[in-house]
Amino acid sequence: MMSLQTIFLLSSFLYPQKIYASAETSLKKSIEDPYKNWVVAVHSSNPLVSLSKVELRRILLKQKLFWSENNRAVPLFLEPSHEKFNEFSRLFLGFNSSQYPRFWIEQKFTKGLTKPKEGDVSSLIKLIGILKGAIAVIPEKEWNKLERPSVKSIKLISNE
Amino acid sequence: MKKILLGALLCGGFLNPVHSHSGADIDRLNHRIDELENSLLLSKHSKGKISSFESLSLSLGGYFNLTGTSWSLPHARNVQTFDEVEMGLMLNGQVSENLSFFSHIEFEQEREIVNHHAYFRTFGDDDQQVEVEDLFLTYRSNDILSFNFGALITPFGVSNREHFDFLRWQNEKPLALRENQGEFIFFDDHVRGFSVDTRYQLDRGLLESSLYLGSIDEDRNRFATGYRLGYRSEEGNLKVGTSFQTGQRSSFGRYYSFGLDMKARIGFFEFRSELFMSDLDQSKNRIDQNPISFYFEPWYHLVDHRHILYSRFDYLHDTLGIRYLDHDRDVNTEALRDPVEFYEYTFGYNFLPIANWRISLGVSRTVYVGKNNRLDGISRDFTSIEWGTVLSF
Repeated sequence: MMSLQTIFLLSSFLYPQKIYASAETSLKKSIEDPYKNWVVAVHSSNPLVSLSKVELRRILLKQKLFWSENNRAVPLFLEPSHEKFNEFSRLFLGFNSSQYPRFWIEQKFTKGLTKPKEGDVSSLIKLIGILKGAIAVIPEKEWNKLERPSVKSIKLISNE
Repeated sequence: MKKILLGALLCGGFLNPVHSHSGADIDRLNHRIDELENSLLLSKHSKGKISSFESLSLSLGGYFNLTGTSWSLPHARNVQTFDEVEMGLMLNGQVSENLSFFSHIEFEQEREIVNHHAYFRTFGDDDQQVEVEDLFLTYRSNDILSFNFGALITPFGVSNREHFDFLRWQNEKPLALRENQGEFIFFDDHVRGFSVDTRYQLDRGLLESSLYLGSIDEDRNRFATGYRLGYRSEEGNLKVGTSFQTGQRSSFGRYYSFGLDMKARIGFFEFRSELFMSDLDQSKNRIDQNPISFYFEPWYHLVDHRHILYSRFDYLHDTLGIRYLDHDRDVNTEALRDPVEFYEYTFGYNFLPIANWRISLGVSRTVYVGKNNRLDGISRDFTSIEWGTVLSF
């Protein structure tokens, strides 16, 4: 019986372009779309099924405060000591982590807005399960490991 | 309590052997019970927590500021001092989903400069005061419309809205915002009244406006009204706005003030810039020109936003001038009104050891131009060094 390695070697010999193209495509995909490694989580009662990247950023930065009339959005953040925080800040907030504290100090003074609550992934999931207006962005790897009662993920779509 | 919980868990394990726990599981549960007990105990005794009466949440914060100034001026008296120490206390309460309040109270010890623009400029005596900077209620039920009632910072320009000490690179405000012996030059920076704010989300940005009416700080019997329209780009890299205020002042009659402002960020480089103009009854005020001012303040972030090099180029033509309070001048003599036109060039450095602690050092050169560039034949030009530290908490 041929092993998997033998099949791979044989096919790469027979169809080298196809194999490399496929590897290149998957590599490109992960480089081009870093958002794929993240999950946007909300309370299961939230009727939303998708959210654009721009809308998500507005909610996380408290530029948009309400889901609907009288229904406040409650953004929650990964704690800054989390290994993925830099990536989260750059991708979803639009600035690097060294600008993060200053941004919220400015918001406190000029708009009276406080920094969202920060926590580790399991605390964020628990909080989303309790707070109906809550929203957080979770690394996909950790999302898959956790039990998530009353929490659902929504689709992140491009800005259009 | 711990024993009861542990007992219950062990009984559970005994009665349901299929689901019995290993030693490691019991240790883990023990640890969790300890944590729960601690947090219950802490919440019972409210340790490290603020209890709010009727609010859903209450946030407390503020800042501490210490500033020193040194002049290089041949005829100045007491040329260096720690002229300002203050603490701002801010309280923000979310009373319900829609209703919140914000208060900002300043406790201050200050030595104000008397005789601005004189070659013999002097620090006054220590003045201690408690000042209500902001105190207002906000009603907001959606993202488009909100109402504010109380003592408000007037939304005129960018520096006045970002007037908190921590957000500036030096303690001294731009020239147009400095008081002229208790009187404002272009607009009153506070009103007691109300404002209606609107926000309109565009595809690639945000339009914000604010309409306000209130009695002014300078004279509580008189009112001012104003409007500001601003645009903020989606990424926040560009903010532009225009402002207007009109009102009656006991000393100068009706005034109409206009402003244009811009704040931009390009990578590590940022700047803010503003233009101020006022239209006054020139014949009544015995002036031949209206006051005008503008400034340009660029800054550059170095090494993870911890080192900031800044500069400010500031110009003011204060056509209303000043009436000297003492030292050789008579307050009530109208003929002694002293219009001035001058530039202030500032260069400085800020170091932020942590994100909320700023240490600053700046040097300013003030150069007077025009026909009143000298007083009694002596140049008014001077150099000042400002140092200070501000902590935000």
